Amino acid sequence: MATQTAAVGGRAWLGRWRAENESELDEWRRGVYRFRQSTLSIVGLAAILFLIVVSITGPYWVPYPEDGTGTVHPAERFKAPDGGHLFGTDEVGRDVFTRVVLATQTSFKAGIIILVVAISIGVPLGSIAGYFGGRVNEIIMRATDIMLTVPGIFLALSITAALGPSVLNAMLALSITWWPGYARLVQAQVLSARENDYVQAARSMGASHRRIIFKHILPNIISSIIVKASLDVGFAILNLAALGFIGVGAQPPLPEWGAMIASGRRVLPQYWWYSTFPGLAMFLTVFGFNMLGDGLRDVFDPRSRR
Amino acid sequence: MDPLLDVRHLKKYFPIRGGLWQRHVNDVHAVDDVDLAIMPGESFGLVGESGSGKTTLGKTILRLSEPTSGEIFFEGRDICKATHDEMQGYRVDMQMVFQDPYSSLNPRMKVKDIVSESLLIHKRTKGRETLERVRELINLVGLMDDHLHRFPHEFSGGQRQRIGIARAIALHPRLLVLDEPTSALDVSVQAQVLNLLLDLQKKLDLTYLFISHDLGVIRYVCNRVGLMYLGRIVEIAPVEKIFDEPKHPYTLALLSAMPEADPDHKVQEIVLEGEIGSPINIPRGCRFASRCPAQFGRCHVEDPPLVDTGDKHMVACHLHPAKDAT
Repeated sequence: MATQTAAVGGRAWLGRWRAENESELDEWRRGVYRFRQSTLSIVGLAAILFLIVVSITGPYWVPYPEDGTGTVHPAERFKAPDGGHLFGTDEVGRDVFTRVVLATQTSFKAGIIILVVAISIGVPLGSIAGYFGGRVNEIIMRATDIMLTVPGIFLALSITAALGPSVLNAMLALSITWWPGYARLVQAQVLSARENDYVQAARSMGASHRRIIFKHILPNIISSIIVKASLDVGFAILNLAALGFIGVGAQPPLPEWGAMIASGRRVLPQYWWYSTFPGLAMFLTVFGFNMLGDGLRDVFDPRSRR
Repeated sequence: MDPLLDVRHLKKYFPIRGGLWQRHVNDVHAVDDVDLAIMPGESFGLVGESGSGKTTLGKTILRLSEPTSGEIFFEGRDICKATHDEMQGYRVDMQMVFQDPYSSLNPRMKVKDIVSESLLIHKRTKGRETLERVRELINLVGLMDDHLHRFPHEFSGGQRQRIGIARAIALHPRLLVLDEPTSALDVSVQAQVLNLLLDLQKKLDLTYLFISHDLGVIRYVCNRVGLMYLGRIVEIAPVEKIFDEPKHPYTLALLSAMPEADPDHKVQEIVLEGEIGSPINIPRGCRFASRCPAQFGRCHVEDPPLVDTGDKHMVACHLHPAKDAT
């Protein structure tokens, strides 16, 4: 009896919730519809979901977990792909498949952390500059411009030279070169969003600056930040791999795509599998994030569709 | 009776900066020495063409833009000198309805959040009480309960303007600045919104500063009218005086351009030459002189002050001298 009332109460509650959130549900349905219009976006989303699952669960099912560390199997050197080693083995006989899978986690973690850091520096600075304008804007935006003139790879090289090569320092370096893009995007968007009458209305009722920024301005520009971020994760991973490739990113024996391609490059084309498979993994990642970003752009801004 | 709002010598200049060092080169004289008094319960109409400064005047009165100089007395106290915290207290008493119902509602907020925002900022209600009050307000402006959970884009222009009005009256303000609240709407919807405003004024004892370029709308809503030209008020009179015996040549020209419903009623239209002057370099003498059909020598030399020509009819024109107190 009691459970029955609870069930009825639950259903009534659900009904009310649906009535009150009908508008949001509609927005979601429309968003999903627009995303599904493009097959490539679905493929991109599937690729990213697949890679995320791989990066999280990988360490538990890779065939040779110890190959992610510094173990060597001299007898297994440069074995071509077969049933035992799907992607072949490398110069010390480690399983390339295992290392490619384990590197997924390094790359995804790094890409996401770089973006989180870049966004948490760039978005507040851009919002403050755009919202308050005047001298504050000048100071912040000129500093941003200076940061933009320094080539990212060069800055990253100097930072890793100063702090020593490691994935962490490479991430730090990339975060520092990445935030100005967000500061600029957000500053421009805030500048136009704050001219809306609803911002004036909020001011006329005595809303605080914080309230105006968080309730009236940021929710209206968040979509462009999401789109840019989803495109950028791919590029951040690519840049991190570039740093790994020139040797200032991940250090051996940590598996990392860029570093693997670099070691494999020396034995190309004879042992082609060594560079090719990490390259393909990187390709899939960047392609996936690009397509996902395009799909999200269609969802948030249907007018910009080609 | 003391005026609710008393504006004295109000000026709002927007600086123009130029050159390498962003030096201050000139000003846009958007509002240039305006005197205005609005009585409690009155509907004061502010008329003028685009660029005459009427919207800027409205926004400056609410201190949405800071006045360059002058005084604004609200219930006898000068709000130009109010600190940020003191101003919070006045914000409760004056609110604004905007011209464009599309840009004036935050597209990411639901109607209930839009209308309740001022209640939350000023901590007037809490919890369930807030929703009750919002429901009451939304019914007052002619919308329904289930509209509360929708986003602005789900409404028509007229409905959106009703939401804007509900937001403005949420705190029971004394003064409402209405910035062309109907000019973006269809004629049939205009009439509904105007009737709603008249209705609310009676129910809630509101005072309106009604900004418009539509004389027909002004005539329908307002008791008293002020005409603005290039940042200055050129004529203020009770509404029937403006329509029956306009004095300023600019008023005459505006009225002659008003469409008539009666096709047999022919008026000689006064066509003004040229455009409204530049608010950057204001000529010496009367600002209207260059376009005025009745201008004479003195107009180009001396700026006519706004003077009382009798029966609460104020005019700023050399043709209409002040009526002596004798």
